Amino acid sequence: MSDNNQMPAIGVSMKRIDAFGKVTGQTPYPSDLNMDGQLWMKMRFSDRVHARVVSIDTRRAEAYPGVVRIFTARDVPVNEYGLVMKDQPVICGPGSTILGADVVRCLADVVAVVVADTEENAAAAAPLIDIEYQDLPTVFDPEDAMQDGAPLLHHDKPNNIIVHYKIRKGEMSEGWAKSDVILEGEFSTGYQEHAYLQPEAGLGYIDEQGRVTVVVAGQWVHEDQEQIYHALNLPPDQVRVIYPAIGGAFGGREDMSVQIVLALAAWKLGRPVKIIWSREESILYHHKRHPVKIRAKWGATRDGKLVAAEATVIGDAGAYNYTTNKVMGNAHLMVTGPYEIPYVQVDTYGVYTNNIMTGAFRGFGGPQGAFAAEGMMNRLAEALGLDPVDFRLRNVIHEGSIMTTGTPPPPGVTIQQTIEAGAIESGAWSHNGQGWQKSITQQPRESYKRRGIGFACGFKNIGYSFGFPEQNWATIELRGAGVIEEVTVRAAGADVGQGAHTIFVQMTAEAVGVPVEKVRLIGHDTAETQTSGSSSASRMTFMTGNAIRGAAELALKKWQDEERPAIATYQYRPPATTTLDKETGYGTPNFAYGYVVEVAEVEVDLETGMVNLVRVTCANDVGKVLNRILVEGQVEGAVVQAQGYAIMEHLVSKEGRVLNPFLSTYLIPTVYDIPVEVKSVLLENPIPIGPWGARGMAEMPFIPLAPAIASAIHDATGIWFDHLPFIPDRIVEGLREHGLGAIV
Amino acid sequence: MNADLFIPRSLDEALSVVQTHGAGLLVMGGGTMMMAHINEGIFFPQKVMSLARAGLSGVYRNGHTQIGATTHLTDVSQIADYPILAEAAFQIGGPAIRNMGTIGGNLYMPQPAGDLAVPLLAYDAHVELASASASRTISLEDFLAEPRSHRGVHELLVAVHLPDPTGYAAYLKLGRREANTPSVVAVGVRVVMDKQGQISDARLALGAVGSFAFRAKNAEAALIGQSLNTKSIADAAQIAMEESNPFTDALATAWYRRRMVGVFVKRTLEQLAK
Ligand SMILES: Cc1cc2nc3c(=O)[nH]c(=O)nc-3n(C[C@H](O)[C@H](O)[C@H](O)COP(=O)(O)OP(=O)(O)OC[C@H]3O[C@@H](n4cnc5c(N)ncnc54)[C@H](O)[C@@H]3O)c2cc1C
Repeated sequence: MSDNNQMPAIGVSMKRIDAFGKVTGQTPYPSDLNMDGQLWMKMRFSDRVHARVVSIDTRRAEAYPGVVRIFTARDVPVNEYGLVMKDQPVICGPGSTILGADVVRCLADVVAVVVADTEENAAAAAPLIDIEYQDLPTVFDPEDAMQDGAPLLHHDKPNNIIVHYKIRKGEMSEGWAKSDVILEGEFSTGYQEHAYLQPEAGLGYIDEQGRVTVVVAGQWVHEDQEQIYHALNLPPDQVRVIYPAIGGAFGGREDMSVQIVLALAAWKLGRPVKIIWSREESILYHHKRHPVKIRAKWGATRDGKLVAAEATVIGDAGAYNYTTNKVMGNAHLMVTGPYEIPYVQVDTYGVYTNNIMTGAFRGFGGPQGAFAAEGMMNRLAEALGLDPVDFRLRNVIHEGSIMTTGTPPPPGVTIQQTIEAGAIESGAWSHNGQGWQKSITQQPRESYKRRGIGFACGFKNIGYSFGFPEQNWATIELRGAGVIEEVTVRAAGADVGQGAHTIFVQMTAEAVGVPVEKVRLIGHDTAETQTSGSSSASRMTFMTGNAIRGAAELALKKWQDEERPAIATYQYRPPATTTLDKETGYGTPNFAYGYVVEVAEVEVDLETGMVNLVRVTCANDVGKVLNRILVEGQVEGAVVQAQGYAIMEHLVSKEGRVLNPFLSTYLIPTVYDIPVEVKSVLLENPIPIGPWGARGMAEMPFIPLAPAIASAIHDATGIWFDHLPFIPDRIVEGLREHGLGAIV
Repeated sequence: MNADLFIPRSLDEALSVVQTHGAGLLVMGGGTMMMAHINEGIFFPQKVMSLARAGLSGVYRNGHTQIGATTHLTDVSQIADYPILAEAAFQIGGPAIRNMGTIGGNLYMPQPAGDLAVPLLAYDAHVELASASASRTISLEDFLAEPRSHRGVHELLVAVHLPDPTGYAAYLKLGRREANTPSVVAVGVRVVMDKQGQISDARLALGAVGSFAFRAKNAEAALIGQSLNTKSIADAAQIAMEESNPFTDALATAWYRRRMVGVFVKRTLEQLAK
């Protein structure tokens, strides 16, 4: 489309369009916005992990100076919400429109909402609400929750089981009989807090057209709108959601936090209402990454071919589904890795407990699945005396391979190329006539320190899975007379900080054939755009890119037909996916995959159990690098976030209560802790349905890092660690069991 | 938030504010801890006094060394005569915390914070406390061990006093990350050697493994008369582990903390042996 002497708009490291405003502090985030006559909100959360709310007495709180109104369950027209299943009350308490909404099921449930003239008065009044609870039996371990007779959290989910996915591929007894080596393993993973820079905040008001409007940070404006109009029982066009700048999300803003209650208050009071969560509230009241337990059994032949794999995967959903059924679906697919395995049996469960809710977080079940899959692969390689790279290359999927779901992967299978590139570029492996060889790791001088290098790989879907409706709209307007002077693109996709808006502008410029300076973006506002779906599942560049290309093509045609302005809207729909068969798991769950490899070098202090991640090589097939600096930023960010997940971040929860809801005690890596080098190796094997061949990529570098680190620790110490996070207490305990690093 | 704010221009003025307003008054050194609590909405003080202008900052030497209570951690980290005090100050928080936080405030911090007490115990520090009617100077050891309820609400910490340092000292802090991290354990040692290379005096202070920082006196005693060798170091490490009374928090278990006392006593003494 571009004329010959014009610079291409994609494939260049274009500076982000939002950079100047953000680094100079001029760009407003939700907490920066204020309106005349605005009131302040404070939410009163549950004091109990599982209880019936018998009564709520608001009189003392109402008498507090400055208090304008207290909302309870009675005030919510349709008192339920939820991204996939509407299983959570907006406000818990008696007098609700929905059965069971008088029960609190975890400490993150809301019991009342206070609106006052100032933030201080709202905060001071909230504890004055007298709530009478009748305690109900509690359950905190998902395996306990699945037992008959366990306390039931939701009446329509027997044994607290939200989902149970199965894979039944081949007769397992045959598979084990054909295996020469069979290994079993037990793995567990921990919570992770998103720890985005900007805690939840928002402003609700009635806009100039009378719409109930919420300005907030989220991941999908149109979904927030839907959740609000459903709960308030309003016509869709009476609710408007706008995102200003968003201070990070990582999946943590997929579900509702302040949206519905702000809309409720603004609607009932007719005045602007604002709320800002503290960091403590943010950590306590939005969902976390799922802790998962996995039991696995894998078999292979002596010459290194995988034969059979069996796994049971149990994820703790906490008190509400959020996206548990989807997250566990991903874990279900990824717990057997990107490998050809003739005999497979997997059972995956998502289970309600009275713990904090769990849901979307970068990788979406992939990291948990890969932790077990790659852990088993590395152990099998060791047991078989094979190099781990070599062993993988004998078993990876290719075009046309049959996956565990009985169907081939979508075209563009490049795990083999990605493994080869990652191994070579890491400098730790070389290939000669004989096969793959790992170089000897240089050891530090101190006798109590050891270095090791580990390997793991993974794959991840791009876009929604399992038949979830997948679509993305874009509108392009071309203005000018003889030549195109100005291009406006309307695309709702959330720029959560990853640079989506910059890529939208680049892709529009490329699709229309104009310099980027001519492109103007109208972004996330439900009154101005049509749905793009969420910024999640590594899908936004892929989906919006396709929608932009479609809209640009139509608009250019109108332009050629002399329409002025030439305006076209396009809905992109990728190839359809399906749910999995309930009994066999047969299905086509995804339409595209990205492939990734990580080589990690660690230094372990044998006495303190501290693990230092020294160096990471990440090979990622992104299809097409649309903006290198943004892609590398995603790789580096994902590596650091996964480093925290694997080594440092430890959310301590006891009987449903998070004990360290502060960034001073829930530690995430700082600039001093991150690897000295993260080497991004970007492969560009295009996929046919990607815009300019691009795949999604932002979750992939998260996925194999924890198992790569586990493998590196094993290389350094000879010990397998199977329980995340690798906090020093656990490492020291494990080392002592093997007589290492022992000082008494 | 509406609070009465006092910014006294002298110690006397500060002491009279304390005397007048007593228990309801929040005293701020650098405010690095208190402001975080206020900003998080954990509590709203009605009366606040900042010591920033009370003339209590600075390091003075006459016979011994005196460090004013509101001396910032950044300045403490540059006191070359007391290398492990400087080192401990440098390892606290990040630059912003060190630029605001004070030595006085640090000595009031509950464990696992309050890192400076560890090197200060190793240097035999005393603290000077004053009220409108009296002042007293007591050993840091006694100060730390005083139950909070016994501390006069009318009292301010005015200065830290240090004798001239003798011997060799080492300090190590274990945190879960490289910076801005609470201590899992902090160890400060100082030993004085006689001409035969035997230890004639020893201080071994431990932080974050008890309800306050303390001296591991049995381990100190075991070092006296010994040279620093593998055995004497291992023995001292073992005794110090037994003497510590660690707790479990979100950063580490008591089990782990106790073991790290052993590792870090060993490592600090090994540094001195070199
Ligand atoms: C991000 C972060 C990281 C931190 N890292 C560390 C760390 O690594 N190690 C560590 O030890 N601490 C750490 N801290 C805690 C704290 O910042 C420091 O201990 C600091 O030295 C406290 O001093 P301050 O002057 O700011 O105390 P303030 O907050 O001003 O006061 C603390 C307490 O001391 C009282 N007080 C202060 N001065 C006096 C005085 N002269 N007389 C009587 N009472 C007084 C106050 O009333 C209050 O109770 C950290 C804090 C933060 C926020």
